Amino acid sequence: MSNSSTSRLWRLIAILAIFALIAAACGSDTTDDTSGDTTATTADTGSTDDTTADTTAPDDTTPETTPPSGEPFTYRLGMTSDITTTNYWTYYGGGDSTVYNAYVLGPPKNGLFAIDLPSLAVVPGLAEGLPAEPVAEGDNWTVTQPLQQGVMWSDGNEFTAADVVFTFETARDAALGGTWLSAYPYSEDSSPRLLSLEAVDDYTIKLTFDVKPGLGTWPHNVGVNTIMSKAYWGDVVTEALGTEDPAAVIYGADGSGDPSIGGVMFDSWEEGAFVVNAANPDYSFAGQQTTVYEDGTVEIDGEQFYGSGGGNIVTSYTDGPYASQVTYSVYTDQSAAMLALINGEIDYWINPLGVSPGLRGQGLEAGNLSVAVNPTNGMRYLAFNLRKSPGSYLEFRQAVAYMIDKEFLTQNVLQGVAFPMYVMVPEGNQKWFNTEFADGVKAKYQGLSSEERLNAAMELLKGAGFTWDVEPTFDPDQGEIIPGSGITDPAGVKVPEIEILAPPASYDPLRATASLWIEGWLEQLGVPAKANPTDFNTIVAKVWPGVGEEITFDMYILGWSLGNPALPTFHESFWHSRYLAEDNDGNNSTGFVNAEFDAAADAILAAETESAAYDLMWEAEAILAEQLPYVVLFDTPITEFFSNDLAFPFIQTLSGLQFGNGFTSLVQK
Amino acid sequence: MLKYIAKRFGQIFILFYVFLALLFLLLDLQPGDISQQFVGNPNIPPEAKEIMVRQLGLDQPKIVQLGNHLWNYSFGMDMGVSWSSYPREVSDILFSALPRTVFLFLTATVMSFWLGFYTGKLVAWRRGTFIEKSAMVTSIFFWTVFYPWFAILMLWFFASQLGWFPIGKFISVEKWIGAPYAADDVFMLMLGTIALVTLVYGVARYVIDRSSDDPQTRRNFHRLALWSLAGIAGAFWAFSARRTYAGDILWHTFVPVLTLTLVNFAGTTLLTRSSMLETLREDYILTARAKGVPERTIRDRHAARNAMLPVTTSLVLQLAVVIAGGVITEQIFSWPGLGRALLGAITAEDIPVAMGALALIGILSLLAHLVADITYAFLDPRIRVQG
Repeated sequence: MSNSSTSRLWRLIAILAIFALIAAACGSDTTDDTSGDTTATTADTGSTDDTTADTTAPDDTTPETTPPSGEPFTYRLGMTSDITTTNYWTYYGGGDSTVYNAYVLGPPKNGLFAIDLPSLAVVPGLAEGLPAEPVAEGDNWTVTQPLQQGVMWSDGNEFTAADVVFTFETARDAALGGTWLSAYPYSEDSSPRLLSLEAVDDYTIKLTFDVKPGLGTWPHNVGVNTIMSKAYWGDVVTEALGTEDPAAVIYGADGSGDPSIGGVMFDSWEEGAFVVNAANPDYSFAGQQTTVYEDGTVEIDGEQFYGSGGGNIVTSYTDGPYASQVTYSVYTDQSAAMLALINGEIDYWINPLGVSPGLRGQGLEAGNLSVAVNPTNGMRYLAFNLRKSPGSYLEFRQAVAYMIDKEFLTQNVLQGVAFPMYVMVPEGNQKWFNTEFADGVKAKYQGLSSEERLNAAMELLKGAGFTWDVEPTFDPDQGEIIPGSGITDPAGVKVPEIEILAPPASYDPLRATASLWIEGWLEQLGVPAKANPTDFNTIVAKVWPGVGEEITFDMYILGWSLGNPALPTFHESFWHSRYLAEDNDGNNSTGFVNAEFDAAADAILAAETESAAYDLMWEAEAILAEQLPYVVLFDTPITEFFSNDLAFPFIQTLSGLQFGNGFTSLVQK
Repeated sequence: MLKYIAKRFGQIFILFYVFLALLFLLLDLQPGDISQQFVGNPNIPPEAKEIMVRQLGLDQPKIVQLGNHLWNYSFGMDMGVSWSSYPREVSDILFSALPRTVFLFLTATVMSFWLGFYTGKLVAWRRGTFIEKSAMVTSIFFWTVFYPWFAILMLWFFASQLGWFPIGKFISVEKWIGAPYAADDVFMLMLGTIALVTLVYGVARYVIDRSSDDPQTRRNFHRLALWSLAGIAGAFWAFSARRTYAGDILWHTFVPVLTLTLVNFAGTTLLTRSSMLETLREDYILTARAKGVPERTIRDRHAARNAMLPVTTSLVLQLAVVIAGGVITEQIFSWPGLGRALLGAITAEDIPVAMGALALIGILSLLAHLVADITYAFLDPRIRVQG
């Protein structure tokens, strides 16, 4: 090597040494950064620290509670999707209304009333006692509701009537959408319309309606709506109302410091990885004792509601929270989530659909897991288009209902993973289910042979004036139906091929399979039919094409989650003529218009007692069972697995543990 | 050359706008929109959907929406706001996911390239031997394996059965609760370290190559530079307060990187092998052998370097795809990167986020093609670009 080369290489070594020094210098900067970052983080979570400080300070206004005993632990949940916001306004208001946001953001919140699980009774939340009765005041109706005193937000402020008024006024003045819109029926089109919500004093509110509100409006709508903290959000809302788009400003605000009034409070979110809720040390209902009796009585701290404590105790529990932290880890793949559960990385996989059949075997084989199987508050159905032939003929719909052998479909074809349904209210909602009525409907269809089904259907169709080129018949020797062909409707028009839209097997194998069998049963009747596996969004676009658009589908198979199980009001939403899809994109997709039904559905909302609502609801069900805009098909139970180490006060509850957001304040380990 | 680059830039610019317009139209063709999510909730009145449609500008004519879209992208790369995380900026969502994707896929791509190139070189050199046959069978197995199944299998084996690694995700909840750092910051620092080391090593190599004519000396100093930089970077992290967090990320990275490497290295192996076999038939290889050049030198310096040309081009193009991440990989390993953001946006019908992610991938792919063209010209002096 030449001298010059050697010299250049030494220069190179010097350069490398300089780089080393620079890197080392960066290293010392890192240490400085660390402290800086720590400070910044502390500042970011200032509210949390403040809360801790408040906790240590004695607070005379907090009601005396019994702190839950036991070792604090971390309740580890897995979710298959991340939350999208920490802002409750946003979650309730629009595109962020996912169930995962509900799981995380729901437990820190409360309403004036709460739906008790598993009883589905409306019980006091932030309100004092049960919902007050509306009274006439001039042309209007008012409700004067006392509120609980001494209930604290986690930031140390006391909950007062100002919070309730603030929540209502924000939803109204900022024109918030989504659930906020339905929770406060303030618009001119609403009936009953909420004219005002004002504070009488710090612990009393007064609501004014234009007509007497039924249970569906008060308390099941306004009453159970979430209350937000005025102290935290007041400035944000004031600023937002001064802008062109207040809703966008409110939705865009940071909600991570939003104080809690529930058992847990938001702690931190590492986007894409996990969310943490921490126990709320200021939880005003800690130690509250709840007992549910067989006769429907709910006893809270010795005070009995809806009965006198008859029959056995269904469940009895003391409000925690027992877990010091609740973590929600994100496993986007279901198989990975199941592995995490089996391996003990998580205690419970919270999932709106439960564990899929393909993974259930793994859960059942794992020795460290317990299983909870519960009925769901939903249904899967076949819908007709009543705007066009042949769906417009009642006898055709009834004939199709006869041809569908639900027991065979669910037990033989779907191997028992689904259960047949004959009425719209699911049997799992025991509070509202009418066994006698449902059995009556079931008796009409259940246990019929193929021949009997065909005969019943043919009698209906012939009676309505349908004709065939070749009539379907039953071959007793083969025990089979010989399909007919060339069916003509009573108007003399040949029935064209009927398209049955159903989600593909990749989306829901149960509905996809059902559509194929229904196609077969229609073919037996001589009705040309084709099951068409169609993307969910395409079905939705065809069924709800938009206001003023022509709705051309023949039949479709979809499912519903039925909303509030404590007062099922979905009848109005699905079949009332005011919600025709072509008029306002409403949920009445079938075009069902029936004045008698409309009256019954309105009356359900206006009912003042649950027993009146119950009777009216089954009046409406009777109309539906006769008119059949839908043939309700089946539903599946929800299967959930959780660690043997966990102890829930109850696991038998409608729609499973996930419906109670994983019972973060009740679970023990 | 400059004229050629300018011309290619012009073409890319036009192509990008065509791409954006097509993207908009294609995504718009899918039925429904985000307001359909209310269809599943009987408690929400139709007016709520109307409000959302109005708020998100979905009530405007398509041509206006397309115009707004192109205009916004033209001036300041404004990708709009997300519909499913309203009113969060799309760019904020994408750029927070980007480092995680880059980190995972860059590591896997470099690993698979290195392994693939080395294996390809070896099997071409030992053609007909047991090593070649077994390497080819292995490569073809990984090349054709059903990826989602294989990824789950890897998770099951390494995480569930052996318990050596976590079941997906990119950080441990227990370790990061109350952590003084955001995961993204640590990611960025890790990426920065890699970038700095690479840059400094590149400069060092350049200086070394210009400083010495002796190949052996150059090799020694290359190694010295590499090990020095690795040592400095290692020391930096060893003394950093972030080391446990970085370690946690690396721990979570192992299984996905191994899976991606195994699946992807085969492509490079097969490409390198065929390129090497072609090169080995060249006259200058025969000449080198005739001159008595050592076999290893012929393999590594004469054959492999020339065989690298198509492989390098493939790598450059692959790097653009790296940014897109892998929807399946990120989904199975619960890795919150760009691929998962894209999948989530498409399933939630969050068109702005889906558009933004695809536009980003498009831009990087176009740039990668340009870089590949330029690299090609530089790597092979026989190629003369017609300006």
